[in-house]
Amino acid sequence: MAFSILVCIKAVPDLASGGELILAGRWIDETAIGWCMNHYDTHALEAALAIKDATPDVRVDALSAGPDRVRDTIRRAVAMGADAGIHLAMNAGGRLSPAIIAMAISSYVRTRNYDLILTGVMSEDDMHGVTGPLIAAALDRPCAAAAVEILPDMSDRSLAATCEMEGGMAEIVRLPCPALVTVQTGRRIPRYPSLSNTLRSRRQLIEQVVPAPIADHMPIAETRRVAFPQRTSACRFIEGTVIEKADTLLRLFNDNGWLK
Amino acid sequence: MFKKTNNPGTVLIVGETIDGRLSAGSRDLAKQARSIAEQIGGEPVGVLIGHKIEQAAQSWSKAAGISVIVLDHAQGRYPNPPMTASGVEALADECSPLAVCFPHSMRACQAAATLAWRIKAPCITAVDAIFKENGHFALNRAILGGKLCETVSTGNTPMILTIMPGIFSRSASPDGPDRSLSVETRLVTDADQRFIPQAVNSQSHTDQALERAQVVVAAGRGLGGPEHRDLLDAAAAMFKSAAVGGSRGACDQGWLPHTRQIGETGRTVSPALYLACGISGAPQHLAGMRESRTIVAVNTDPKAAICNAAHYAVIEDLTVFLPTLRERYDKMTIKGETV
Ligand SMILES: Cc1cc2nc3c(=O)[nH]c(=O)nc-3n(C[C@H](O)[C@H](O)[C@H](O)COP(=O)(O)OP(=O)(O)OC[C@H]3O[C@@H](n4cnc5c(N)ncnc54)[C@H](O)[C@@H]3O)c2cc1C
Ligand SMILES: Nc1ncnc2c1ncn2[C@@H]1O[C@H](COP(=O)(O)O)[C@@H](O)[C@H]1O
Repeated sequence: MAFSILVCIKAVPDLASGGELILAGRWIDETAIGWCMNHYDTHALEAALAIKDATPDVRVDALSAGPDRVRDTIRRAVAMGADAGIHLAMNAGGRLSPAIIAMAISSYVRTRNYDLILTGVMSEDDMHGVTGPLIAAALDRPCAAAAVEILPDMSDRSLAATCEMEGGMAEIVRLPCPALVTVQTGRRIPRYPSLSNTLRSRRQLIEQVVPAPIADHMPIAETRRVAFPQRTSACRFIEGTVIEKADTLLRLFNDNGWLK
Repeated sequence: MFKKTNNPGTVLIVGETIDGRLSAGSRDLAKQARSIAEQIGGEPVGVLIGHKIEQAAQSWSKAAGISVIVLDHAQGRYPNPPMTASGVEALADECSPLAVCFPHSMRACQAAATLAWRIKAPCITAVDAIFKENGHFALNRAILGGKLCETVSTGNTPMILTIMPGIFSRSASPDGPDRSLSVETRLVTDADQRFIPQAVNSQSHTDQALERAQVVVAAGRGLGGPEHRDLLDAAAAMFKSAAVGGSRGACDQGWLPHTRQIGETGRTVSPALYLACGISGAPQHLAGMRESRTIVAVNTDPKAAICNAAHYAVIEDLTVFLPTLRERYDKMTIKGETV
């Protein structure tokens, strides 16, 4: 019997692309930076694609909620191998709270029956770590957090997830499907788009869904401001040429008696 | 347990246990409990969840200086977020708290989110400051890997919070008159039967090099590739006692073994010198090394969050700087030249 997986992916500021973080209002200037797929979500997608590779009759959809710019990230997911891309059109004019996103995604999921929903454990920009569990709560599905490995058992439609706790400890939990798992980065490196999937991603229609207006929702905390953090320790920036900097550090190391 | 008279409001402090023992996050939360409650303006009451955890509860209560309610269930031997949410929901019903505070672990985030959804309360995670602003609660949290700090506010109670480690700790023992602390156990009847624990791997590390070393030379994704691993070893070899470690970013790439990962989900170290090369300083990394006595960051980005935690920063490309450092060291030792 077919098995369907929905992977929730978020487009986040690409800090490695060299763009500047410029504060603007209660958020950053979004035009000054590039966007990429949230790192944890690339791992969630990879986990889904690995299940698809290993098991017949598995379908993987990738969904992102947000303004039009998230469509590039959805296309990237199709290029990596997702069967279809879904754009939940939500214009924030800023940021969307995890509760609003969870409500929009859960109401979309009610119209399709996914056996498994995967999210990243955390978004790199907002760093809430709650959107996955909120979706699970909204749908009343069992949920496992911070999984580094997911092994589905098609015979009874359940899965075993190896979930990280603290200090290198991990727990294996079993969940009956439909379930939701949040994915932590692991040793499996997310694949690059293949040429054929990249070509397909350019042709394929990305379905656009406008979520129904949300009537009653949980109270959200409102962002008042964002700022560069205050320096807590008086950090001394060592100045000079590369050689001078090296010498300054060596003097520090030597004075403390750390060097051989 | 919940005082009715003149009660300014309760602040529930929720801890986790792992196989009968306090989790590291919960031990840390104990140290913060009273200051957190003070910031919020309520009376702290502890809630500890697990199975057969009387002893852990006693020591947690003492460490925090607060009374504790134990929620016991056979399925709570390992952190069980749906059960935690149900148990705390019942308590919240009883005492209408101002806030429910969890440690910032992923399991606790899951419990916090589940609870928040069920009781329709605002959920704010990774909180590192709490204050009042215009009559509302305001909370600070790091975003974008610690590059920015955001202030959020809410007028709704209870607030469901997860608290970053080490922020509100007090070094002194709880002040005020000796309190008589009580530990009361309640049995949880309701547990989600769909979350079925199977087994726990707690790799006991035989590799204790990181803990023993006086100096930790650590690398992050800024290392760029496994071919630069030698640079770390060469730098480490300058010191009397050093070990090489890394961020999750570097370990995930396979550039360093996972046993050498430092941070929330890895090892915790506090060496005399922590040399952080190409590490951005995400909160989860800082959790494992912020107690180091001297922190030196080598990074191309002067705005990297690591520079806020570091004592010294060198803004250079590590692939240039580390070899130079080693060359200067060699010169110094061979010629006996003083730098
Ligand atoms: C539940 C959870 C648990 C986690 N647990 C941990 C944990 O235990 N430990 C941990 O480390 N992380 C952990 N993380 C991940 C953490 O959030 C960060 O993603 C991670 O620490 C980033 O690693 P990094 O600093 O190496 O990489 P990046 O954030 O990519 O930073 C790379 C840095 O290198 C610098 N750089 C780039 N090139 C150079 C160069 N040539 N020379 C010098 N500098 C350069 C960049 O400016 C940047 O600052 C956890 C995350 C979650 C959600
Ligand atoms: N706008 C979004 N669209 C799709 N998925 C999202 C969105 N925001 C968050 N998520 C998912 O929720 C996870 C956790 O996000 P957060 O709760 O913000 O840390 C992410 O890794 C994504 O999988």
